[in-house]
Amino acid sequence: MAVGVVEQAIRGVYEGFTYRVEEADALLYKVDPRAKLAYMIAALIAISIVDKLWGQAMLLCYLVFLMLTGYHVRKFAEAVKPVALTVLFLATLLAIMYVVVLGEALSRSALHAAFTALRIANVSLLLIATFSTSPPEDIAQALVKLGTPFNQAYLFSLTIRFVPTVARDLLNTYDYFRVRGFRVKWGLNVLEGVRQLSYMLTSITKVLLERVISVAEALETRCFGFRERTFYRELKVCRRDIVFLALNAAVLAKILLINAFLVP
Amino acid sequence: MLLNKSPAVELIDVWFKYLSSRDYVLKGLSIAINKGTSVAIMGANGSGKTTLLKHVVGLLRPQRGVVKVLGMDVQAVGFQEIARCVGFIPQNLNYMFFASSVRDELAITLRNFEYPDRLVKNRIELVAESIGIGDLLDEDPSTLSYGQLRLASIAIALSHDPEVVVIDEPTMGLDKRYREALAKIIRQLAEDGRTIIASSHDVEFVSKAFNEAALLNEGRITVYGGLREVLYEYTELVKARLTMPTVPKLFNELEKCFNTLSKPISVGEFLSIIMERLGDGRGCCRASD
Repeated sequence: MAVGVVEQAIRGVYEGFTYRVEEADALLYKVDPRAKLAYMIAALIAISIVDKLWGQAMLLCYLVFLMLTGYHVRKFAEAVKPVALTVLFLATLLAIMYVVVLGEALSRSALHAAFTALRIANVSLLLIATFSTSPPEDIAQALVKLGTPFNQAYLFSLTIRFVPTVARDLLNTYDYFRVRGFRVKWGLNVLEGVRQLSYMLTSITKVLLERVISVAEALETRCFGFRERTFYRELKVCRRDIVFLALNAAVLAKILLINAFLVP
Repeated sequence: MLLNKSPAVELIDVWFKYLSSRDYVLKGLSIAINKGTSVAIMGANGSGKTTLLKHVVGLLRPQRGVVKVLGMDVQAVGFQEIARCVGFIPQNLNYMFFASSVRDELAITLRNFEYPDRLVKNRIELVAESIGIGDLLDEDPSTLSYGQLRLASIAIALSHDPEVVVIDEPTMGLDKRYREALAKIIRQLAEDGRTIIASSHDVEFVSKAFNEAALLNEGRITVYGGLREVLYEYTELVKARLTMPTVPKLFNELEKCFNTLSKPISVGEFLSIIMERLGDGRGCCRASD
C-alpha cells in the first residue's frame, strides 16, 4: 500500500512535469518566469501563514483556477490525479494517527488531517504550475537576470529539467523489478519487506548515479562553464506580467485577510 | 513438436496514449499471437513497439480495448499473475542488475516467484547452461560486457520458466557474435514451445531468428504473418520506414527472370534455388536480359 502511494506520487511528479502546455494556448505559459517565481514565493508564504482549513481550501480553489489557465481540463485532471490520491492517502493516515497515537476525537483528527493534506496539495500544485509551464532555459535566464551566477542558475534549471527524467528512471526501475516478481509487502515479515526494498533502492541509486555521471560528461564535452553564454530567446517583462503579479498579489492578500478575520 | 495453436497473446482494438504525447501511440491495434511462435514486431523508432510490449507484460493498461495473455485479461488479473507467465527483458539493461553476481540475480528472481529453496541452485545451473552463460554465474554484472549482460538478462527472464518471453530491442548494442548467439537462443526457445515476442527494426536479425513478423506503423499492425510473407512486402516495409533484408531484396529483382513462387530469406535458401535453376538447364537471366 505504502509503496503504491509512493509510486503514485512519483507518477504524479513525472506526469505533472512531463506535460507541457502549448505556448500559444496558455496564459500561464506566456507569463515571464520572474513573475511566476515571485508569485511562487508569495504563494508559499501564504500557504505557510494560512492556519485555517477554509483558508487552505480557498487557496486550493484559487490554485486550481490558476492551473486551468495553463492546462486543459482533462490534462489537468490526469496530471493531478496521482497527487490527489497521494494526498488522500496521507490524510487518511494522519487521521488514523491522530486518533490512535494522540487519542484525539475523530472529528478533530479529521480536521487536522484535512488541513495538512490541503497544505501539501497546495504546495504540490504550486510547484507543478510554476515549473511545468516554464521551460528550464527560461528559468535559468530569469535567475541570471535576477543576479544569480550563470553556472548556478543553469544548474538549477538542469535540476528542474531532470526531475521528470529521474522520476521516469525510478518508475522504470520499479516496473522492471515488478516484472521479476518483486513485491514490497509490509505484513508480518518486516525484514523481508526491508530486504526487497533495499534491492530496489540499490538499483535506483545505481541508475541515478549513472545518470549524474552521463549528464556531467555531456556538459563537459560541450565545454560547460568555459565562458558566459547568451540565450536563444531574450526574456522581457511586459504589462501582462505586471498585471499577473498585481492580480495574484491582490487575491493572495484577500485570502490572507479572510483567513485572519472572517473565517471562524 | 505438436503446438497448441490457441492465442498466447491477444490484443483487441487497443488504444493507448501517454499523457505527454499529442496523439495516440496505439490506435485500435489488434493482433493474436499463437502459442509456440516467435514473432518480431517491426517498426521504425517511435512507432509504438515498446508500448505494445509493455501492454503484453501488464506494465501498461489499454485505455480502450482488451489485452489477453494466456487467456487472462490483464486488466482483470493482478500484475503478479501476469509476471509469473511472462518473462520480460527491457531495452535498457541498466535498470535490471543490482546484485553482486549473476547467480544472485537469478536466485533473487526465483525466490520472488516462491521457487522452492532446495531447487534454486539446480534451476540456476540449468537456465545458465541453456543460455550459455554457465561461466558467468559468479561474475559481478558491473564487469560484464553489454552482450554478456543481454544473455544474463535472458537467463533472468527465463529463470521462473515463463510461457511467454517478451524482449524489447534484443539486438541493441550487440556485436555479430552475440547477435548470432541470441538468434540461436530465440530459435531454441520457440522450438521448446515458448511464445517469443520481440520488438526490432533490425530486419536482418529478424530474418534469422523469428518465424513470424508483424509490421507496426502509425499505431496499427499493417501486416502480420509468416516471415517470408512479411519480409517480401516491399511497399509495407517502406511505409513502416524499414529496409528490406538483402536476400529478399536481391531475389525480388531476380524473380523477374526466375518466375518462381519461392521466397528465400537466408543465403543458403537463395543459393539452393539458384543452383536448382542452373541445374535444370533453365539458367539464370542472360546478360542481354
